[in-house]
This record gives sequence, structure tokens and C-alpha cells, in this order.
Amino acid sequence: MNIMNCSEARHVLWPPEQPRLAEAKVLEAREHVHGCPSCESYFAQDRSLLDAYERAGRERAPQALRERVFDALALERSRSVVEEPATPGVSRRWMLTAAASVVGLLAGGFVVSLKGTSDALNDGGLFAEDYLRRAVAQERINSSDPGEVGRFLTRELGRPIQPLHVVGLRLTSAEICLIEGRRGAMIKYVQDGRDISHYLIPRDGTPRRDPEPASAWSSVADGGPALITWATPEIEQALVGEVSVDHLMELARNASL
Amino acid sequence: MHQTFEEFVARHMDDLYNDALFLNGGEVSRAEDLVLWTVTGAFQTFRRIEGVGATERWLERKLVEAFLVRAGGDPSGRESMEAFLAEDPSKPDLTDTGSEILEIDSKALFRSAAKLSHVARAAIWLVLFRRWRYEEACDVVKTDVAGLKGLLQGRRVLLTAVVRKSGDRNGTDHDRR
Repeated sequence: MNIMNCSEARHVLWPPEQPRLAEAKVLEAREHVHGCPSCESYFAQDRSLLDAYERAGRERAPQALRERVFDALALERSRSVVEEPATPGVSRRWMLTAAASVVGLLAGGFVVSLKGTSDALNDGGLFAEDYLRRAVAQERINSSDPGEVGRFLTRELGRPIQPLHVVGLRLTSAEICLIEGRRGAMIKYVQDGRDISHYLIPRDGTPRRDPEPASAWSSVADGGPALITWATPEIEQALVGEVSVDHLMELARNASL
Repeated sequence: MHQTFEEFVARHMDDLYNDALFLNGGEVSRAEDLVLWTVTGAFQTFRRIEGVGATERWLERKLVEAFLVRAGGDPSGRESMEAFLAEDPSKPDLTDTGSEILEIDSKALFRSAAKLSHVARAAIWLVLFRRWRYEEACDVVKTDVAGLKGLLQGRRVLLTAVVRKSGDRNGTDHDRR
């Protein structure tokens, strides 16, 4: 019968925390270690070294490094995005209502239902969540550079998101919205002096759906902004603006959404 | 719920940074570059192999592979480790004597890693600090079990250097940054 040496016993029992079958080799290694001061010392020192490492490894990664990493990832993702073709071409006071409608779309089978979201809105939970998130994080970018905005959104949302490219539609800013716990993008534009906002809410399992006007919204908000919704695979989308529904539909079609 | 690569990286960013610090002997700029290199390289693989979920162990492997690629054939540290192991035969053998729990200056640990060769650091990090099995670690550092055991002797460098510095308070409290 071979006598197991220290090196072999340590090898067999490594890593020491891992459960293992009580095979003959394992039993022999355990027997060796229990009767070997050198091996017992080895494992004790190993534990000390690991403890020291875990104590030493509690430094937070610098913010600058995080930005470098996520900028690099955003750039990588942006490279994979197919540029949308450019084609001829779409006020804070309705922003909350617009957000409420998008909530309704997500929660209510994609049919705008202001009544259906009233409970959630009345208790303020959705808005409080979004307000608090904005208060503690910089999740907005003011830029007319589509590349910069695209990298920002891609970095924040972890998937390629690019602003629309439509002649006459001027990009002004973008921010991260939070709707029912889902992070999404709200990209803001101006066309002929009128505000237009584009919501993109990533949502697993979302099938493609053609643009359609939200009729309930139009009837409730008579004279107010129009809203259309549609979906591309995995992303719920909406356009809201102080323009006609037809204008938004045309914009959606022209933008090859 | 589906986890994006960015979310996965964000959860592990602090660990990655600290692990990179150890592998680079406490050098901040090198550690940052290694993290960036690792993450972007891992992303390429992640995107290419659809359906393969990113795991901590997968990322650990990517970190070591990136570290060794960046180190190239540079044997930096090898000489000092060998010199250390041979320099003083009368030095207490920490591996084989005593069973007391040593007091270790954790901050000095990263700096002491710089005395080891790159591959020894990688082997020690995988086996001692990330609890990889010998055979798995061998696959990453491209050696056999006997070679790995030789590399793991570098733990003596860590132990001794750290214990030495614990007794020398004038030299232990410099921030590694």
C-alpha cells in the first residue's frame, strides 16, 4: 500500500471547503492531514492568507474606471447597430400623463387605459420611484449628438439604443426613465418648435407590433399631445408629441421603426 | 429575468478591480487597464457565443487569460521569487512549521505579489483565492499539476513578505494607490 505524502494529500483535498465523496483516496488524504502537523499548518495558513486577501479586496472600483468600462462596452454595442436610413421628415406639462400612458401600455395589454393606471398613479408609487432614482443618479444627457446620446443610452440600458434619424427632427436630450421597475429611455426631440418624446422600454418577450394611435389617450386629452405605440422585438415604444397623431404615425413609418 | 452583460459586469466590477490589483502587485493603472481589457475581451466572447451565460468562474478565467496575455513572455518577478526562495536557508519555513494563525497585513499582500512571476501570481490567485481545483487551474495557466505545485510555492513569498511587513509598521501602511 502506498503511503500518501503531503503534496498528494493537499492536492486530493483541494479546495478544502468542497464536499467530496468519501472515496478511499479522500479518506486516506484526510487521515494523513489529521496526523500531519505540516499539512494542518498548511491549511491553517491558507485560511489566513485567504482571509487577508478578502480583507484587502474591499476597495471600490474607481468611478473613472467604471466609466471607461461602460463607455467601451457601449461603443462595442454601438458598432453592431445598423444605421437607420435618413428620410424626409416630427412641454413638461404633459410629461407625467405620457408616462402614465406608457405604464398603461406595459401593464394593460398595450391598450392605453388611463382608468387602468389610476390606482398606481394615485398612490404615487410609480412617480416616487422615478423621482428618487433621478435624485440620486445622473441619468440624463443634454446633447444633440446622436452618437453621444446613443453611447449614453447603450451604456445605461445594456443594449443598443440609437436616436431617430429623421430630417427636421432635432435631438435635444435623453434620459433614463423607470416604469414599473423597468429602466427605459426617453429621447426628446424638437421639430418645428414642437416637443416630441420617444419612449423605449426594453421588455423580454415583447413581439413586434405595428404603430397604432392610442385612441383612449386622444379622447381624454383633447387638444393635448398625441400618442402612438408600437413594439419592436423586446422593446415597447411610444411617441408622444404636441402634434397630430397622423404626424407621429408618419414619423414612425419614416424612421423605419 | 434576462441579465445583460453590462449588469453582470456591474455586479462584479469591484471584485474584478481588486483581483486585478493583486495580479498587478498593487499597481493601480495596470489594474485598471487589465479590467478594461478583460471586460471588453469577455464581451466579444459573450456576444459571439449566444446562449452561454456569463458566470463568475468564466470571468475569473477571462481575467487571468487577459493578465497572462498582457504579461506576454515577460518573466518579471520570476527571478526575485527564485532568489527569495533560495536566499536564506535558515529562514523559518512557513509552509511546514507551526500551526498558529498568522497576523497578516492585508494591504501589504498585494504589494508582495509583485515579487512573484506573472504565472505564479495567476496560479496562486486561482487556486488559493478563488479555490480552483488544481486541474482546472492547470488548464488556464498552461502547466501540469507538478508545475502548478511549483508555482504554488510562491505562497511562501506572500506569507513571509506580509508577516515581515506586519512587524515593520513603518513600511506597511502606505496605501497601494
